[in-house]
Amino acid sequence: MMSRWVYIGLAYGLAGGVLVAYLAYLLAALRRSRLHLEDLQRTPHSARSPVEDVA
Amino acid sequence: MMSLDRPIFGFRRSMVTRLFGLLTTGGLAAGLVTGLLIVPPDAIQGEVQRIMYLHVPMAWNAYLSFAVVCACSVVYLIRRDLAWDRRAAASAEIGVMFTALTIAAGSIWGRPTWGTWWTWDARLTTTAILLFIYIGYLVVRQVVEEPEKRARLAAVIGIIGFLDVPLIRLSVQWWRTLHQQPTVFRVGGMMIDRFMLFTLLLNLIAFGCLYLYLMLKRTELEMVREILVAEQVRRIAHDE
Amino acid sequence: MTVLAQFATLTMKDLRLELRRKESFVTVAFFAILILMTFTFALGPTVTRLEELAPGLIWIAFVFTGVLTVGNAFHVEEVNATLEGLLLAPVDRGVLYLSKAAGNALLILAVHIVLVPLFFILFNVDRWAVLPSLGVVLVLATIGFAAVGTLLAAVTHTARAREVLVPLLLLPLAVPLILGAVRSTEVLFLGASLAEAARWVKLMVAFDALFLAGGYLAFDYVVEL
Repeated sequence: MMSRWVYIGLAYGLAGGVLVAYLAYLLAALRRSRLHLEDLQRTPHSARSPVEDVA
Repeated sequence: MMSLDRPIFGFRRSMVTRLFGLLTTGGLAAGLVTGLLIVPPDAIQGEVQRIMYLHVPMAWNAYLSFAVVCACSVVYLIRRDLAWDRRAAASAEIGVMFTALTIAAGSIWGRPTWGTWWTWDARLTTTAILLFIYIGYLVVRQVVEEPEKRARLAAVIGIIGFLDVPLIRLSVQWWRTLHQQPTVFRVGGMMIDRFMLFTLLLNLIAFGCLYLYLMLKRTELEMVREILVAEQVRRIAHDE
Repeated sequence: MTVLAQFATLTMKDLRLELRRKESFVTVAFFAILILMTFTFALGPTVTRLEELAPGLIWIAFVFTGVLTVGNAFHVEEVNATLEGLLLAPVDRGVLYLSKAAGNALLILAVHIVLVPLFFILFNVDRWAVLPSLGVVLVLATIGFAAVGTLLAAVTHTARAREVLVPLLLLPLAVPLILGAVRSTEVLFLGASLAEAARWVKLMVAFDALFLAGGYLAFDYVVEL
């Protein structure tokens, strides 16, 4: 029953694809934001840590 | 006070995230192999029934996400701590993704089993309506700028949306049973095999870990973004 | 001033404003008639199987006109910058919500008192006997629709794209109500009494109660200054 496996592949492929894409987006956005933050913190006139500013 | 590595039950956040990342990877690998290759096919439906090990855990995650949205929204309105709003927002986004995937996987399963991609079955219809309610929730979050106001308004929708679910479910069920019985399809009714039940449980646990992992990552992203904005605002204020 | 007097005063205020400006009532009424005409164009002048179609058509028109009516509830206050004044008045916020919902409900009802008989005439529906029972269904549906719609209008009134947002949120939430209304109407059109549709009527009552209570409690959070 080859055609049955096509449906299985379609379902698992679609779910896997979307999940991996979402995870990739999350990790990339997280990395980008962290880098941006580190970049800002490295430059001089931020004496205090921004972490303490957000309540 | 917000810290990026705030402890969760006494453990470092980054460690907990990594732990759930590992559990998810291992669980999904084991679940996938067992569900696709090892467990015997269903006696009546044959191989296609293997989609169940994907479809059911995703559906559970979808409903779990929306329950979490409701709970976090209630806590936010009481405590006014934006951390709870972040959790509600993260859960709604993840829930919408799982709901859409549940419908898609169910539809692909329905084609060879029922002979149609879509049927106005009670459960299917309810899930589709839920998808639209929470897409609306996410849109509201998009169009309100001010964080506290956005949190308040979203919380109200998160709560009333979830309270409406039993009524939607009931009405859709009555609507369908008045006309015709939906094509009978019950897992519980056909004496589910022990091994199949084990495989399903394995996948349920693996997807539960995936949900927690995604939640941890998504809320972390929101935290970093908020710190980033605060830092930029502080700098502008400093420059002036 | 008792709570009841406050409620009556606030509702009368909204209705008086509406009577003076006539904007939404008249526009919505004409819009409703246009919808009926569009049905005729879409279905052809001589409709067969009307018993099957009529309940659906009535409630599609209801949804269209209802969405238009409730969507404007707080926009008026926004345009006139009067919402702050209302919120500062020594009135329970919940009562303010209930009065807004009541105003909306009365406007929707007013439109349908014209619309439903017109529908019967335009489509030659010879079922005048169902009108009293249909009226009950209409009142229940209107209360629920106004209850959710008013709350959502308050949620979205300052947001961008509020015209699209209200229907986007309202239609999925109102599914039980619309299903209840359509099914009850179907039962009536088949010649049975409203008692035959008891569970749908109960469902609509439950929906009305849930959302009136929910709106009453939630409104305070929505309009917080």
